[in-house]
Amino acid sequence: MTLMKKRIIIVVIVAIAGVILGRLALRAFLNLMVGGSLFGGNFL
Amino acid sequence: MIREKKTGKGLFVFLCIIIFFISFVGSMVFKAAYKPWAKDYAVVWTDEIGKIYTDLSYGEGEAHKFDLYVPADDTKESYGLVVYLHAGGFTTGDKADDKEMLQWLCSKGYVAAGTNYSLKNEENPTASVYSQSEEIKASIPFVVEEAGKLGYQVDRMAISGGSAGGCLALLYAYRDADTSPVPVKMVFEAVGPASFYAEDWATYGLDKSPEAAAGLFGIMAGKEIKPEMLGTPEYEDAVKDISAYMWVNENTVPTVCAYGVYDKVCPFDSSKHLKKALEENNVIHDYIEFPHSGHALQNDDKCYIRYMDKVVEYLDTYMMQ
Repeated sequence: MTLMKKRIIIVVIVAIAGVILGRLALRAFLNLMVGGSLFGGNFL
Repeated sequence: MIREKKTGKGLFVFLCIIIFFISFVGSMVFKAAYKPWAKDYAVVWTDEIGKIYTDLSYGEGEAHKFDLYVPADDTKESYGLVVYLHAGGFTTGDKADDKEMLQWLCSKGYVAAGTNYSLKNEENPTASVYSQSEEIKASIPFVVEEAGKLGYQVDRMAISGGSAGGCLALLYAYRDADTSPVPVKMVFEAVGPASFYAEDWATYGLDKSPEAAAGLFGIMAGKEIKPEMLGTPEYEDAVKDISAYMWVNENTVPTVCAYGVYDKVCPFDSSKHLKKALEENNVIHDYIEFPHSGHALQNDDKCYIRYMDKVVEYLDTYMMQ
């Protein structure tokens, strides 16, 4: 695997992690403010 | 050569940090703003849908104002009125906060009214849930009269609201419907407190602090409640005027209500009395639990769609002539 391919895969993984953690962080914040569970229901 | 490699690696790490940050913030914004189902319960407001009359008065107080949304079609003999009361913990909020909901109701052919009430704050230190419910009661004849003046004869109504507004809507529908100038046909509300027992409000520690509970519920009821009254019939009497569930009987109007299981603001346990009263009195109702949500009903979109579908179903059933 070339260095470029490796880097593209890393970038994609970082982006997906960012998306998931961003949604989780907002959900956690709202749950903290008004109550709610971290998992179940809507996607994240 | 080694230096170039190090620079390239550093740039790549920097790029990854930027991409992570953009993805993180972008997904937060997207999650907060994108509600694909919401478009079914909103309209793009135009003159073809209706007209809005703002800040109509129903009393002398500064807060005694309502907005009226009337349909463009003024040819009908009579109209249904839907009053929507704003949220805000009895201390904040404004009728304009529910503009989208009121516009949507108007687009369905109803005369819709958003009504303000005197909020409890430094300017109104004596305001209480009870005084606010009395203001709402006083406002309805003015709303009906004003609609009539504009050429919309109202002959039936529904009342609704969210949180504090939900509490006031339930009180009007269950306690004051007999005083209404037009028959109250139904109520729909979300996360409105319908009972006030210290043990249900344990999230505030009120079950362990009778003094705090007596203080809070006394302020809400607009009368003095002493800690030793908690759990006695005297307490039940003291909070009856603000406890909607206590007014439920076999004649209670059809009800759609929604509550979040993890609600910290209007504790979920406080809704169980309402559920029980509706069931015991065979009231037509839909009590919708949001199993993963709190006060904002934020984690269960499918339940929210169900709630709104039920609202539409009830409106079509009980508010159509």
